[in-house]
Amino acid sequence: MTGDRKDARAGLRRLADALASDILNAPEGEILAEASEIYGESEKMAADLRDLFERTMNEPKKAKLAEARAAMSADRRKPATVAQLDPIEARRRLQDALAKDPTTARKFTLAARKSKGLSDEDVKGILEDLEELGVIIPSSESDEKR
Amino acid sequence: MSVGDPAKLVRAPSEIAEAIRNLTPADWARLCRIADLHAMGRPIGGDDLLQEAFRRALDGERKCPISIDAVRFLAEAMRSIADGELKKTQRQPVLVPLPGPGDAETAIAEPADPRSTAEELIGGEQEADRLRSEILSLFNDDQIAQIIVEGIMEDIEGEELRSLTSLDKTQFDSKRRLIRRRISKYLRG
Repeated sequence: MTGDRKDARAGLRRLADALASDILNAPEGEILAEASEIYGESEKMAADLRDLFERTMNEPKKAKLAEARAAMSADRRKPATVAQLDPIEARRRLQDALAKDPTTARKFTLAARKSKGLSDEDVKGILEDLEELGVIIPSSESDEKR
Repeated sequence: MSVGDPAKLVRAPSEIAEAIRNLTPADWARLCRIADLHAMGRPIGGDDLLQEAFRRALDGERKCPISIDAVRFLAEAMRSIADGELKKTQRQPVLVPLPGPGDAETAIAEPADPRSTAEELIGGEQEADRLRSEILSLFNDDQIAQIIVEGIMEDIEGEELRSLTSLDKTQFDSKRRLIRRRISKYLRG
């Protein structure tokens, strides 16, 4: 045999193919006996590979979870639209909202309806509650719709 | 549930997962050894090769006909992935669009050539050559085994290979068992 060194890669591939075929066709008992000789604890080798498989199975689920977490934390980082309003704009928005929704307006005192006797924080608090209840559209969204 | 033309029935990814979960310790041993063999002389490890085969099977990127058992399917997938890894070193350079007429002139970044450099190719060949020599040297104490290994590498198989050794079938099969055990041990390090 010449031992064509220029074609070592092809030679290694042929060897891999031939031995892989032998391994696929060998009886189970023979494979298990050889596994003990090669890996020592063949049960541990099998357990490690099962674990590798389960990790591969769970990778897409983990990626989706990470995506959802990222979306949630991005949501948390969004600035509160009401908190950013200046006090005059907040009072105007509250009055507009109550004027457009008489049912809700009736639930407020006259002072509240006129935004009188309310601190700036009270006004913003009411606006936030109305946004959460869906009575009014958050200011950033209503701006986008304009 | 597998669906489609009965002649082309393939397992659904969930069926592949089920089949893999039901592999026996002997099946895992076969896969582990075959992974090491196909990773031999390639730029990827045996466990990575097996994991990539799992991934492609689960993604549906590789279809497993229901007539083929999971071990043979994964073995063939690993072989194909290993070949692909090697071919990556010979792939074509990336094409980048040139600015059209009238476009503002901008500096075009020189794309990296994904092909291996001549040095890397020579390095890969030298590595394969070194590995070939090391494998042959595993049988320095057994000239017949060495002839068989060298014969397989040179594409001699079956009766022709056996005739080089003057062994009967039983002796020849026993020698091949010795060869595969010794090489698997060497590859596991």
